[in-house]
Amino acid sequence: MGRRALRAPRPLPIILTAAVILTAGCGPSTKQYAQYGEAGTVYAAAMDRLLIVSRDLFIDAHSEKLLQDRQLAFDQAIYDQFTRNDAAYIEVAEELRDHTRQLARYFGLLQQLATSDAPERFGQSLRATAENVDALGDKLRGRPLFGKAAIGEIGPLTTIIVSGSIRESLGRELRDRNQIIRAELETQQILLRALAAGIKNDLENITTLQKARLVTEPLKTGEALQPPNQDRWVSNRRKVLTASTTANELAIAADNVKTLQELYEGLMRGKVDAAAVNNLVTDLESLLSVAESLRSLTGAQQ
Amino acid sequence: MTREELIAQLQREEQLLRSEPVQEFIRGQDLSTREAFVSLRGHLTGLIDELRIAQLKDIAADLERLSPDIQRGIDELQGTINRMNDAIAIVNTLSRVIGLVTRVVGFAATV
Repeated sequence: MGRRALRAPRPLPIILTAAVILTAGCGPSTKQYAQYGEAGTVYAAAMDRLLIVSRDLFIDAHSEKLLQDRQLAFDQAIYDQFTRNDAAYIEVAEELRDHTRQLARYFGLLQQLATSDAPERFGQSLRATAENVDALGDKLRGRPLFGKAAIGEIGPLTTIIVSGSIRESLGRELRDRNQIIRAELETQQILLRALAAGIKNDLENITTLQKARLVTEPLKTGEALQPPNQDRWVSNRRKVLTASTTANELAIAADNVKTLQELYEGLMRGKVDAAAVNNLVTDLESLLSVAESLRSLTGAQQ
Repeated sequence: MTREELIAQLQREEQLLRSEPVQEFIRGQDLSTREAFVSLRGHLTGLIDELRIAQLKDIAADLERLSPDIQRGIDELQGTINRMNDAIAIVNTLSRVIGLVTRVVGFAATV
């Protein structure tokens, strides 16, 4: 009778497991939270790169305009005004980058929690503890406390319980900050559109002015015909002509945040399409590559 | 007209003033005309800059208002991760202590 009574009570693990599985059946899975966290992390990285590109193009556009102005006359007051505006743009871009870093941290932690191996580690730790308790019981009383069968259940059961607890924490986090996340994503959409419009305009200005300075003028004066300049002139002409095409790709990128918003709404309803998450991540990664292209395209050399 | 529309409208005007035909035309004018043109065109550029910077500052202010709540989310997520790691560390320590006690008991039994 004593040996039977000392065994781990079987109904409790079964009830707990059933409760956790039933709870786990509702809402998104930790994998979906992880994918959402990944999408947000990639978005934040893309936004940071865009802010840098936007800042650099803003300054470069001024430099090209000052060179163009200098062909006509020099105006110290205009130079000072452009420089002051450059400084103001750098400042606001840094403020926005600070916030983007905070957003990246938030999404990163969401992903970290969702992909945590804590359930498995916790299960292994508890199992090891139970084995040690059994060994101690064996030495003290000549019999184990739990027995091998009960210990075998501890690891998987703990894993399920801790996994359920993580999902509950993730769900609570998104519920608690529901309005904030919605407001954040809406504002991010406005920011992305403003940046895309600014980048497009600056790039159009830069390419127009570079076309005159680096393509038309050297060809007119014959400077481009000098053997060492020919290859550079050909390369610059290609960069100038393709830059505006690349800038147009940014208009497509502006829609990605809307998808991030839609993804969030889907996550809140417990319905997230894994394919949509993967598509968004792919789109955002291509946005990063567009941002990088823009930087190299404006690097035409004289 | 919204601010975005005004910015777009002014940018179109600026692009026209900075186009190659206009630049070539002004190049052929006397110095005082060129100076006046550079000043006016520069002021238009400066005005567009100020509108764009004000637009970004407004967005930054909106995001800044959300920052404390985002930070609370970060703290809570980090807290959950820390609590889990702490719990695992405690269980591991407990396991090691029990293992040690088992060895001590085993050793005492042989003495």
